[in-house]
This record gives sequence, structure tokens and C-alpha cells, in this order.
Amino acid sequence: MAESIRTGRRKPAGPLAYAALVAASLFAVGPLLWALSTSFKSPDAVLTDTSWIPSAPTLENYTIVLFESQVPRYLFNSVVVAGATVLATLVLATLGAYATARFRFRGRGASLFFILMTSMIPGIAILVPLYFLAVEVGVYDSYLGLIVVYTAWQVPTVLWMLRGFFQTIPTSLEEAGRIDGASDLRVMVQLVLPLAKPGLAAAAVIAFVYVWNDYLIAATMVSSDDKRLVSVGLYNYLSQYGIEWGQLTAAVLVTIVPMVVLFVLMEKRLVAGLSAGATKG
Amino acid sequence: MTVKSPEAPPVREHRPVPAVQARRRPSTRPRLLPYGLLLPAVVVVAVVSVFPIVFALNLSLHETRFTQLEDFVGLDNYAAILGSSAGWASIGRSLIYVVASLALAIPMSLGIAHLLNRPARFRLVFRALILMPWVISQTVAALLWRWLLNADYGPLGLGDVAGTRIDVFADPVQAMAALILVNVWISYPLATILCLAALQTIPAELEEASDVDGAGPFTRFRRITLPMMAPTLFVVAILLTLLYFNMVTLVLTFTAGGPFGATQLVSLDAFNESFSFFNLGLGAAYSVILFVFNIVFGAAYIKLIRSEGDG
Amino acid sequence: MSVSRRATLLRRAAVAAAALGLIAACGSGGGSTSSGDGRLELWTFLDPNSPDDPRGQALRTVVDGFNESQDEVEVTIRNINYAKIDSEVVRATASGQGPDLVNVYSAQLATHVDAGTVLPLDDYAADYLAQIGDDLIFPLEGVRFGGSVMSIPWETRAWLLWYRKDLLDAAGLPVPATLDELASTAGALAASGAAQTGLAIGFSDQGLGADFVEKFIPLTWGFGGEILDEDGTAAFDDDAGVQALEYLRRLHEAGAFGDEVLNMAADDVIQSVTAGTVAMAIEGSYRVGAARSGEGIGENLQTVPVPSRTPGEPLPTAVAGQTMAIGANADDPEAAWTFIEYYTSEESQALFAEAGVLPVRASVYDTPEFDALPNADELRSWRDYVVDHGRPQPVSSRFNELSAALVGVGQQTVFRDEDPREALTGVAEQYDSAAR
Repeated sequence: MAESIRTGRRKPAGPLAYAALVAASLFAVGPLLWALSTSFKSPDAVLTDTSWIPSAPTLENYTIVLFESQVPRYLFNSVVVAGATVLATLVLATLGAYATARFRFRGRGASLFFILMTSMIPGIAILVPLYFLAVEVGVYDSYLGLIVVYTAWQVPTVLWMLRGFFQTIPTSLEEAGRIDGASDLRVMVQLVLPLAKPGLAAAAVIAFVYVWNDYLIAATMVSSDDKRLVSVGLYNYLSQYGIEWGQLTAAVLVTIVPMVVLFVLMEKRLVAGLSAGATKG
Repeated sequence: MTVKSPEAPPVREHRPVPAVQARRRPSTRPRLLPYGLLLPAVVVVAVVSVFPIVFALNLSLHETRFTQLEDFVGLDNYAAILGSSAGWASIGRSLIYVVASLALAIPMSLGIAHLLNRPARFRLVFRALILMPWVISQTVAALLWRWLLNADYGPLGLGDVAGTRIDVFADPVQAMAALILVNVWISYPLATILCLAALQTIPAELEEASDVDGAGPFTRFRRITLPMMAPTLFVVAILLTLLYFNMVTLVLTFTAGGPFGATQLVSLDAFNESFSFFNLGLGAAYSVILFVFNIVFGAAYIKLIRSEGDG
Repeated sequence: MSVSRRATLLRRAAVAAAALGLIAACGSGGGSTSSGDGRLELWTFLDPNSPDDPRGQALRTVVDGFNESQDEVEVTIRNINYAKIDSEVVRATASGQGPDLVNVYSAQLATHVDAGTVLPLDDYAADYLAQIGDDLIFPLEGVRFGGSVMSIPWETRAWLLWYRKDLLDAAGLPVPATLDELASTAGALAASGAAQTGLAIGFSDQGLGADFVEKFIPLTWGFGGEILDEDGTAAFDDDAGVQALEYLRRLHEAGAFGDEVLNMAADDVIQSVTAGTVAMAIEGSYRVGAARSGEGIGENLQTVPVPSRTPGEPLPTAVAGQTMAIGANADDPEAAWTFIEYYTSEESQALFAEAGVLPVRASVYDTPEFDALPNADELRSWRDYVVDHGRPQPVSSRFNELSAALVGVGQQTVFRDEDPREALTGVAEQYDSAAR
């Protein structure tokens, strides 16, 4: 599997490859460097100081964002909602993926087809109905409403992904477990899940980032300020008087930090997990 | 991550199990277990997706007044879109936007993934940097790029490029090109990481073997890499296509459809009719049209990958 | 259209949800906004926690003052971005929720009235309006629908000609006094390099083309036309509308602005005035204070009434402003009204005036506190413009749609060669046919 394959020797990168890597990195972070630069400029300097290195750097924007705004609260909300969504998605999708990967049963193909179809529904099509449904059921403007919607939104992708992953895990282990008299559920939880960890980690990261970035659902399902997610909260800097660039960019950078940390921590697992699941066609 | 046509059974089903074992516990395996495992996922997906899409279909067949359903009008809302040149123009622009974005994003992701797959100093740093746009929301991406590309005060200095002023937001073609560029910027990281993952499953020995054969890098890519990457590329294509067709926030913030309507996409029509103009019926019709495009493209990919498998 | 066939989405949603009955089990609470426990929820675009907007602070002071003034009810604030508040109120009200009190921008009031999100105020406001009478400088026609007053204005605004005095002085140009002079001055400013753009008018699709339409309306009036007829049908496609577009085209040809304005909405225009790349603009009085606060701007930014074809006779200005209304699902409209009275009192108006809001009550302009404001005279000149030349902004529940269509016409006729009359007629026909 992935781990063993990686030990194979590939040609190290040459100067051309490094040049390409640097170019790609610049394309990727160029706009963010500009955001970084702007975040250290005072409101007056934002439009007048057009250099990439602020001539009079200030921490004012960060102070305001961290201590005088609701951004920390939004961050907390996003972490809670994204975290809960990841958990719920993994539980539902793991069960479903395991069932469809390991058992033959009537309606399996139809169920898989159904789940695939729902991922084709444009979010914009169902925002309004979802809103009314959420209000009626009493989950509008609550974490729960967001979590349920995001979970349902993520389950199809993650289920298909994990199904591919389970198919790469040999069944011999499970058979051995069954011979020892373990129940199907125990086999799944104690023998298969530990092997599926990389796949679960990769799925978790993808689902987490999705929730982190989403704007439309977050803006539709929640309206009180103390439950707002970070992607919507950034809209506070788009005022009638124009964009508060310094504070907006500072807020953006503050919100990137946890994601970068998450990525660096998860990088190995993410790639390894995906490589096992991704190619299983 | 796999998405495959459900009718086709997985290629490597890990059955049949050895006959002895199969005979040992044939009937004790609870028949209801798989249903029990799958049911929660199906239920949640059904409640959150199916009921609302049925609702949206129903909306699209009615006249609406704010949030009230009025007369049943059959396919009038669709006729209003498909019977007008503006409607077809939006559809055409959506297609250009999606196809051009795919044509850029997929080769680019593949190329970058290839670079990131080779041993290199600071590989983790490069990976982290290159994937960073992944965690930028569409609103922020649009605002930042609007500023960068601004001809008057943008830091890229497009106001004076060797004496010519490049104002991408004043030119229909350039505005669309810029929109596609930003779209690729926020979406290639996910594609890259999926491609990277797939590349890692290609045994290095295979590549070495082809080196010995004297095959050039392009032959190697075509003969070894591409076939092994096909399932992943298929998944990437589907994910990106869905993302692109349904894109609202980015377009709304970046160009809002202008200039001269050059970036007015079907998704933006759907958003405006539903949320800015309160024409929920017409908005629903636009989004159902999007749904149809998603399905058509999804089906086309499935067909494509199947015929590749046959050949 | 039979009424019996109407079914609210809500009811259908309820039926379907009950039939599915699924997530009901795991969901409870949340979202209830009108609970009838003596709490009134106020939805507004103002952010009471904003470190940058003094109006938010003023709002907080007024609300706190109201809450302390009596024991019956407590008002709480829910802040929603100005671009999203209207659709959120419409949706929330349709689902049986929504605010007790809602801040509505006057141009959006027709939408709210049509969507049934606000209560008529006749029962409550009659005495109040009789009492303040002429003291209210906001034209009441702007908030009256079907004979009923639907909301009480608490802010007024006019659209003025903004100019950078330093840039005009440097170019040795006087402040234009007619539309012709405006064109030539703006052209000269840009040609001399004093500024990138002589006169900026935002032609961007952002914000549904609001910046463009805010100029198109008074120009059409200035050429003797109307935007909408008495019966609500399109009237902008007559000679006056065509002349307005031709004037804008002339501005473009005179070099007053170039293609860069295609990417400008109101806030871009203002940022550019602040940055000095735009020398003149026609923008709202309510934004002057914020624009001046930038470094090195201050008194360099000046305003005069927008000139017309005749010297000494300004162009009419649309009058619009923020208003306060009672939500359709309010638990206690009586209590909500008490708050509106407090919110629009002279004392509260004075507080908002300090935060840069142009008061709607004439008497506030003559108080000693008002005199103490650094730009009291300027504010009074704006009031005079509103009183003498103000007209309520045209109202339509489909104003957003119209606005988005008109900016498209503006782009096509000013920057492309499309015929103004044909383009306007096209939009007018579409607008009227959709009204049915």
C-alpha cells in the first residue's frame, strides 16, 4: 500500500523542477502575501502605500481583530461546527461505506446511485427550501441545523471515498476475526477501522475544509451574530463605507493559521489516506 | 475517493471468500445488518437533499410572489429562460467558464502534483504553500484578486504594462479570463492533492523500468502515469465540474456578472432571481437547469471512463 | 389568481417535514426570535459593536437609554449585513418568525410592504405624526403605501456633488455650476492629470448597479422626466431618460471618466475620492463623514448641490434614508411603537446627528448641541437641499430587478454604441410585462 510504495526511489527534483515549484508557490501565495502586507498597514496607508512591504508597519489591525471584534467567536463557531460535522459525517459515511463495500444486498446499487445523484444537486437550488424546513423543525439559527446540513452535504463524497478505501483492505483479516467468533460490528470497529485510519483522516480534512470555506449555507441557516461562522463573519468588514481592508486581511490571516497548522499536522496522513482511497476504481 | 457507475460492480470485490469459511457461517450473518448500517446515511441525505429538491422542482413550476406559491404555470419559467437569448447566453457562458476552468485546472494540478511527488528539499513547505488557496473562502479570494488586478491601485501595476493599460474589469473577454483564473486559483489545491495521492500509488519501479526501456518522459506519462491516474482524474473532473457549475459566491463578489453581462452565469442568475429579486419560481428553474447540467456532465464522465476501460 | 389556491411555502414545508418526521427528533430550540417575554428584537444593518462606525455606538446608546427608561420591555439588537438584511427579513417573516422591530432603507420599503413583512403604523402613528407635523423634513410620501404610513424615517440623505477642493484648486478650475460645466471641468481635470478620473460614476454590476441608478434618477428628473408613473409603470424610457443617458455618454466622450468606472461601485468611488484618484463624484451625504476621516482628506473634500442645466438651480435630489418599522410577526406592536417614538425623538436624533446622521426633524438642526457640531453649517445646507429640492426616491417592490437592468443599459449605451431609446424601451417593456 501507500506506505511501502513511497519507499520506491524517484528521481530527485532538478533545478527546473525547483523553478517550477517556486513559480507555483508564488502563484498560490502571491495574493496572500499582499493580504499579509495589507494587514500591517494602517487604514490611511492601505490605499496610499502601494508597496509590498509596509513603510510604517502596525499591529493595530490584529489588535482590533483579536480583541475588539467577534472574529475569535466566529473562529470558535467554525471549529465547533466543522468538527462536529466531520464526526457525524465520518460515522454515517463509514457505516454506509462498510455496508456497501463488504455486503451484497438488494438495493445496494440503487442506494449508491441515489447517494451519487444527491451530490449533483446544486446548493443554490435547495437553500430556500432548507431554510423553511429548518425553521419548521426548529433547528434554524442553531449549530445543530448547520451540522445536519453540512453532514448531509458531505456524506455522499466521503462515503464513496471510504468505500474505495475499504475495498483495498483485504478481507482475510475479517474472516479470521469471524472465525474467532467476533460479531460483524466488532470486526468492523476493532479490525477494519484501525486499518482505515489514513482514509478517515483524509476524509476528515476534506470535510473540514469544506465547512470552513462555505458561505451560502452558513449565511442562510444562521442569522444571530454569536453563532456566525467565520466565512460569513468576514462580511462585517464589507461595510457601506467601503471595505475595511486592514482589518479584513488581518482577520483572513488569523483564520488561515489554524488551517495551516491542521494541514502540516495532517499532511502525511492526508496524502497517504487519499492515495489508498483515490485510485480504487 | 471513488465515484463510479453504481451499476458496474467494483472490479476487485474481495469475494468469494474461501469456500470453507463461507460455508461455516452462512446464515448467521444478519441479513438486516447492511441495511441498518446504510440507513442513517441515506436518511440524512434524503431529508436534506431530496425533500428540498422536490420542493424546488415544484417551485419552478409555479408562479411565486415572494415566498408564496401562486398559479401553476407548467414549464413557463423554463420557457422564459430557454426561450430567451439572454438565457442561452448565460448557459453558453457557464459552459465556457466550466470547460475553460477544467482545461486549466486539471493539467495544472497534475503537473504540480508531479513536482510535489519528487523528493525535494522543503517538500513539506512547498506542499503547504501550494495548497494554501484551498483554505481561502470564495469571498476573500474574489476581493483579493479584484484588488491585485485593479488597474488604478492594484499592486501588480496593470495600469501601466509597458505603456498599455490593462483593465481586465472593463473588457468582457479579459473579465471572463480573470474570473476563470481566480476560479482555478481557489480550486486547484483539492485537485492537486488528489492527483498527488494517486501518483504515490504508482510504483516507482514501473517508472524506472520504463526509463531502462529508454522511454522519454512524455511516453512514460502517456503509457504509465495517465492510465493509472484515470480513475482519479475522473473523480477530480466530476468534483470540479460540480463546483464550477454551482459557483455563486466567487462570481457575485468578483464581477457580479459584468461588464456588459460578460460573466453572467446560470448560477448567478439562479442566485439573483431567488435572493435579490425574490422571483423564487424563476430562480428555482435556473437551479434545476444547473442540476440537469451536473447530471449530464456526470453521466458523460461515467460513459467516458467506461469506454476507456473497454478499450 | 384565486386566493384559495395560494399555499404558503411554509405550510408545504410543514406538511413535508411532518411526513418525514425525521430530524425533528434530534432538533429543538434555536431560532425563536419572537418569544413574547417582554423582549423586542430589533434587526438592523448597524453593528453596535463596530469599532469603526459611530452610528453603531449611537444605536447602542439609544437602545440602552430606552431599556433603562422603562421596565416593560427590553430591546435587543440583531445586526445583519446591509446587503442581506432585506431578504433575511422576508424569509424569516414568511416562516412565522422575524423581528419585532426592523430597520428598513426607504428604497427597500416597497419590497417589505409587498412581502408583508411590516405592519401599517396608522393605529399608532397618527397622533405622533400630527404632533411633529412640519418638523419632519423627510417627505412622508416616501413611506406611505396604500394610504398607510409603513415606517418612520430616522435618517435622511441627499446626493451631492463631491469634489476634491485641492485638486480643483491645483488645476485652477472653479466648482462647476451647470451640467455642461460639470462635463468640461471633469474632462479638464482628467486631461491635465490632476486626477485619473474627473468625475466618477460607478457603472459596475456590483450592488445591483445602485451607484449608477442613483445618478440616473436625478438626471432623468432634471431633464423633466419620471422614473415610474403614478400607476407604477415604467416612465424612464421617454425623452428625459434618453437625454440622461446621452449626457452620461457625453461625460464619457469628454474624458470625465474612462473604462475604469465599469469596475466601480459606490464604495470604490469613495475609496478613490479618498485616495485622490477621483476628483469629483455624486455621492450620498451620509458617506461624507467617513470619507473625510482619511488622512489628508478633511476639508479637501467639499460638497455642493448637484448642478442642473440652469445655473443657480440645482438638480433635484432623491431623498432616501433609514426608517424604522414594526415587524409583521411582532408580539407586542404597542411596545414596539413605544420604542420607535423613543428612537425618533429629538434626543435620539441629536445623538445620531453626532454620529454623522442627517436628522429628519428640523428642530434638531437648531439646538445648541447641533451648533456644537464642527460641520453644523454644512449639515444645514444639506437639509436645505433636501427641503427645497428633494423628492422621494421612486419606489417599487421590484426596484432591485429594475436597478440591475438599468445599469446594464448604462454600460451598453455609454461605453458601447447601443441606442439609448431602444435600450430603455426594452427594459421598460420587460419591467411592465413582469408586473402584469
